[in-house]
Amino acid sequence: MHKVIMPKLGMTMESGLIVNWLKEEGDYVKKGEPLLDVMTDKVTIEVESFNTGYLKKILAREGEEIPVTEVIAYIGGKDEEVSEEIIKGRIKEKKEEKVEVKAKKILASPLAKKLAKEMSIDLSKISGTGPGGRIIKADVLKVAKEAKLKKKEKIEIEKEIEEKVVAPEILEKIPLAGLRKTIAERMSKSKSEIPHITLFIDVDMSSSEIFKEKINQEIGEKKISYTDLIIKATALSLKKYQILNSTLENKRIIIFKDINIGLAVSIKDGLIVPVIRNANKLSIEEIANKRVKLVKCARDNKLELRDVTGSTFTITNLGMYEIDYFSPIINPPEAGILAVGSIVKKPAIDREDEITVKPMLKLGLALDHRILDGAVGAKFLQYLRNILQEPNKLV
Amino acid sequence: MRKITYAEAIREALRQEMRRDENIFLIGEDLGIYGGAFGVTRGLINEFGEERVRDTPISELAIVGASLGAAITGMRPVAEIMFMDFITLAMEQIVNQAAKMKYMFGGKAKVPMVIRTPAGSGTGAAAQHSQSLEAWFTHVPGLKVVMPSTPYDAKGLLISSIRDDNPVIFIEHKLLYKTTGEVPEEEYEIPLGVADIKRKGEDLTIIATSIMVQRAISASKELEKEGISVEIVDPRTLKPYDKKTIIESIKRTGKVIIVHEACKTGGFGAEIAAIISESESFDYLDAPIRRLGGLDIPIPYNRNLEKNAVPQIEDIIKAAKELIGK
Amino acid sequence: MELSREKLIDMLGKMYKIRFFEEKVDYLFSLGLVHGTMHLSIGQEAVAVGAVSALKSDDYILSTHRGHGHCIAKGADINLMMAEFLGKETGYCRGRGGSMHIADIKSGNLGATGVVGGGIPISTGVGLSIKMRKTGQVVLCFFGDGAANLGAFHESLNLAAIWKLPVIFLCENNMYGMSMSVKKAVAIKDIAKRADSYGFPGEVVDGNDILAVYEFVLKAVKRARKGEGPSLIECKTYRWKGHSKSDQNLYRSKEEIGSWKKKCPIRRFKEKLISKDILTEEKVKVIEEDAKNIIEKAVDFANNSPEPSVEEIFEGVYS
Repeated sequence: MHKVIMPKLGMTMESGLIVNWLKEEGDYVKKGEPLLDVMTDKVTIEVESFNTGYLKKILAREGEEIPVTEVIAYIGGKDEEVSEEIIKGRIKEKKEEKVEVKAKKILASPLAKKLAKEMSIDLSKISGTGPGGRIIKADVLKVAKEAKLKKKEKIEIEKEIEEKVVAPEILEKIPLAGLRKTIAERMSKSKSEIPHITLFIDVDMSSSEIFKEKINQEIGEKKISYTDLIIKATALSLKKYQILNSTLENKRIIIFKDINIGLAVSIKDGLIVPVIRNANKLSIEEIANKRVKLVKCARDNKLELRDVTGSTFTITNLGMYEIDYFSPIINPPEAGILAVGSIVKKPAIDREDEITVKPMLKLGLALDHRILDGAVGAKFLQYLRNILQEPNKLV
Repeated sequence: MRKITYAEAIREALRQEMRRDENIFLIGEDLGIYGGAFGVTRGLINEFGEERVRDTPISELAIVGASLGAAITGMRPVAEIMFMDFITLAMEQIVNQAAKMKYMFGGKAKVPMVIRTPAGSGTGAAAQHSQSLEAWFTHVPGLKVVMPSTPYDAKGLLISSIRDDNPVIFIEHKLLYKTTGEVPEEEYEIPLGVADIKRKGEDLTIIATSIMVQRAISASKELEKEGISVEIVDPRTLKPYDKKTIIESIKRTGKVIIVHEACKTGGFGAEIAAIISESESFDYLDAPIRRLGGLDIPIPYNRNLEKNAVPQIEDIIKAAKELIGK
Repeated sequence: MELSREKLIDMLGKMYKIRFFEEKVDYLFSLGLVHGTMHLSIGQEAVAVGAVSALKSDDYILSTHRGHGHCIAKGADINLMMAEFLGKETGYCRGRGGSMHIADIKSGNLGATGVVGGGIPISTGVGLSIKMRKTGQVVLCFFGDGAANLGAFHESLNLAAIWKLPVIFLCENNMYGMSMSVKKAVAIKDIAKRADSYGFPGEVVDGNDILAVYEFVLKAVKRARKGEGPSLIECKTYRWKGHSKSDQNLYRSKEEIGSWKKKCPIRRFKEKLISKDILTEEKVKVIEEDAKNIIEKAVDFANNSPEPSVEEIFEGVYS
């Protein structure tokens, strides 16, 4: 008498649903002949008979969910009888079998067990070379080495294929580390989490130019730059439109009292953002002094932690690279960032509708659309432009 | 450095200690003019006289009892029991009296005494003059048990034993008396409870006591030729004993053979094996703990039978190869 | 008689203390307050007090399992004894020894041993130490008639003899080694006679006559101090109580016990002191009451003492 069991049909299969028997009790079944359909993980699989004989007794019927290895039927000779005891003993037998499986102990030395655990190696897949087939340290290490080799081979094969197909020749592989890694993470986070809205505005910088020269003349050196004017103007604009000087944290918008302007500075390894604290309260000259000092420190790699923390709004400037304008990415967790392009002489229409040549600047403002909407940003930009066009307000 | 024998090293320790402290005296059978059955105390009577190198009648119980009484009243006796086998005659005083006195009296007694005694087979003296009974004494709280394997250890450990305020069973080995080794001339102490790694190795740890240390060293030299690197740990004192050194060694090698001359059944090797299994070293075992000990028979007289009764160099080599799988 | 009046009164007081201490612990045991067993020496007080009275305070004694009397005679603090008896931290042995192992090393009481004859070999060592250190002390070793048949007795007495050690071997012959009558255990009449074979004096004394015990021991002490070696003194006495708490007295008759009770060593000494006008009945009453009070106070002290701490269970195994 042969047992028909619920076969294990996949690595993770624990039980199978009998969809239908393809044979009836009493039917003759040949080895390899389809016997029943079993559904597991929503896939129906035809199960073939392992034995030849008559299907004597079906223990589990259509619709029953049966754990793997449990007996579901018996196949036997024509005159063989399935005793009641066998049928009754079904559950008991199953239990006993399980115990037997559990009791089959893997023979391994304590050290081998420890190593296997550390290396996540399955001891049941290792054959031991120690006395009585005991798995010893050497066996585990051998398997670990082979696995490593296999992995290496696999990588090499993959590499070979890749090279054959695409084959861009690699010059150098630079691991993403240090500052680069931080920037990568922060920018990804910003771009994926913050819905950006970006607004642009043209600014006539004629008055600012005169204003800047005037101060520089007064102090006797070319210390003040456009950047300083923009920082101050931005700070004043943030004071007016405080919602931009904020952050979104735990479903709350937190508006800061301090207006701390971060200034993106390009350095050898990437980008760093030193902070000018309370910029709205500082004079242009004070801002200039701070800026010069911070930029120098940044390039000399001498910034301290307090120099780079606590900014509430960032200004990024690519004007010196003759970039007209660009769309910046918010420095998280801030609410906005101001992008400063280059000041270029351009034809412009003045108040008298005359075409004149003026030093023009295009500002880009990226905002966290979760915190505020385009209209507020637009007002902010207008206000900022007005200050820069009438810089006397800065004093 | 100067080389002297194991017996000379013991004698030198006794002499130097007796010069240092006049409360130290020797007591036992035939220690004086005769110089002790194995000549260990030879010549000491000339320097220290009969009072301090005190011959006794054949009265082992009284030797130990007299040592104990002297110890608790200010002296520091070093008794000799001529053969370890005869220590049975003094067991009452050692086990019930000396070992217990301090504890039984609430910690108020001080028992600074040493019982020196030679153990071991190999001299053809048969069953009543060849036993290694150290395990008995490790089973008695209050006693310390010391087993030196080299002249250097013998001197340093004996000095420490004499200076210790507890009863110490100091077990010498008859076959070691004539072995030589480097021994400093000055006095030095080897603390009780500190094992010594007699040889560094990687593949296998052999924990051996007394003469078995020497046999393990010889075996390890042979094994080295076959590419098996053996580490030899000598506990030196069985009580107190140095778990840490043993455990650390096993963590490095993963395999261990414990060798002693005493009968395997109930031998101290069983205690060492148990401690290894109970400690974190268990997880580092890559093979079962192997014990080599004397057969469970009285030591026979016939030379060949006697040799076969206790582990020899070849036995250690064989066990090591089996354990390594070579 | 060289004994002063004060000394005689002190001796009687000690006998009472021993008697009352033992009666008290017997009672405490009956109340279930005592953890272990005990061996009472009621009826033998004259031996303990008489012998120890012949010693100087810096001399040593070695005691036996039946040692309460020896201990009190040597001047032990009854409070500390009682505390030890009840297994308290304040006891002589921090509750680690109990009734059978009371020792007070500082006062020269080198302890009681639970093994019959266990102290005899040790006493030779103490004698040897005294001799080597040249301190002029002596050691008095108590043991019973039962111990006299051990090998330890032979080895030790021989050793003491050949080295002329200042040891007084005091055999407290209370007629029974547990249930074994000395008449059945020893073929000669007097154990003291064995001293002859070792080459030193052996004397038989009426162990219920405290002054006789004192006298003979003093003689032995003098001999020992002079460097003439050991002595063996056999004090014939009787224990009224059983061997230990499990004894049903099946091996002896009530008549026998009764006849010895009539020879009570305390009453005998008391009557002697009264007859010599050293004490009056009234004064004796005061001494008795004082002794009783001391025992009662000791019980209070012990009851109010802390138990030893389990955290400190290892303390005292090694130095």
